[in-house]
Amino acid sequence: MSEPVRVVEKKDIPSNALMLHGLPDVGLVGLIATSHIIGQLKMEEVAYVDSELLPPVVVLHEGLPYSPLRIFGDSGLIASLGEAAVPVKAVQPVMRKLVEWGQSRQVRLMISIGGIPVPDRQDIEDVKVYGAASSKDLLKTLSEKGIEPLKGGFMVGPNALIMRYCAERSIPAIALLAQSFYNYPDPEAAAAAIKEFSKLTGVTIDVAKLIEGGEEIRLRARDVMKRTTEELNRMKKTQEFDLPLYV
Amino acid sequence: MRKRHKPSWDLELCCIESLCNVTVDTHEVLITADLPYVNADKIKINPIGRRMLEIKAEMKRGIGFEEFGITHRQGEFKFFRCQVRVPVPVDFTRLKTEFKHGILEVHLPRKKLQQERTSYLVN
Repeated sequence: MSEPVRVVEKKDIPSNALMLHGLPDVGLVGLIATSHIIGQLKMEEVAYVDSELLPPVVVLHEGLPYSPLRIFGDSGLIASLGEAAVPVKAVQPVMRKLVEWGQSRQVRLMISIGGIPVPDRQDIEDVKVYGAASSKDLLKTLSEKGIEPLKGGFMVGPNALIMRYCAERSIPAIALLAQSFYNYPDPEAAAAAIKEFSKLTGVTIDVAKLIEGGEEIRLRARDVMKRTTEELNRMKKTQEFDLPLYV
Repeated sequence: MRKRHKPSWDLELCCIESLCNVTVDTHEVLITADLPYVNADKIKINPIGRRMLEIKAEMKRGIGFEEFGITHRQGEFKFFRCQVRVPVPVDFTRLKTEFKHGILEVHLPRKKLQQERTSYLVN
C-alpha cells in the first residue's frame, strides 16, 4: 500500500541543516515570512510533498506546474512552504510526514513561523513575537535571546502539530509566533518574526523590501488568505482564544 | 436555487472583493475591511436597506491580471468592494469610521430596544 503522504526529493538534501516551516495559517505570517526568506537567500526547490489527501491543485510559475507544498534548500537551511491552504483532514498526516522526513535528513533544529491572532491587531504598532519550544533547554534559549515564551494556552494547526511531533521524537523545535490579524495577510507580522528568526539563528535576512512591498503582498495574498481562513475555521483555530483549564 | 460560484473579482465592475470581518458586541457592530492600496478619502460606505452595508474603495492605481502573473485573462481592477450583512439592527445615522494601516473600521451603534431592558441584581 502506498504511503498517504510522500516527500519526493529532486536534489540532494543537506544534513545537519536548520529546517524552517512556513505553512498557511493566521495572517499568512509563516507563508509570507518563509517565502521572503527563500527569495532573499535564493533557495532552490529540493523536494515536494505529494498526497491524495491534498486537493488536486498545482501552482503555475512561469508556465510550469508545481506542487503547492514544496521544500526549498541551500547548504545550511531547508524550508517547507505551502502556497495553498492545507485541508484540515490532511494537516496531521502532512505535518507528521514533514517532521519524520526532517528527522530522517538529520535536521538539527526545526523552526516554524506563524501568527498569534489578536483581536485589536490594527492598534498594535510594534508587533511582539512569542516563542514556543519542544524542550526546557530551548525555552531557556528563547529567553536568553529576548523572545518571551508562551507559558500557557492552546496552539491549533500546523505549527501546533510540528511542536507536538518534534517533542515526541526529541527533535529540537521552536515556534516563532508574531501577533497578527486572524484573517488578513500580515506582512508586518512576518517581518517581525523574521527579525527574531535572524536573532535566533544568525541568518541575516533584510526585511526592508518585505515591509515596502506590504500592500502588494496583502493584495496578492487575498484569495489564499480566504481559503486558509475556511480551513482554520474547520479546525477550530479560535480555540487559541480560549482560557485553558489545568487540573 | 443552486448557488453559482463566482470569483472574488468582477471585471464588469472592475473590482475585487475585499476581506471583511463582522463582530457583534453589546453596544455596536464592528465591520472591518482590509484595503491595501487605498487612501482614506477614496472610501465610500453606503447602507443598503436596513441590514446591509456596502464598502467601496478606489485603489491608488489600477491593477491588472498580468501583475498576478496571469496572462490568460485580461482586465484591470480599480476598486475594492464588499457588501456585508449586518446581523442585528443598527443606527446607520450614527456610523463612525476609522482608517488605520490600510484597515477600515466601521462602528455601527446597535439600536436600543423599544423597552429598555431592566437589570436585576442577585441578593
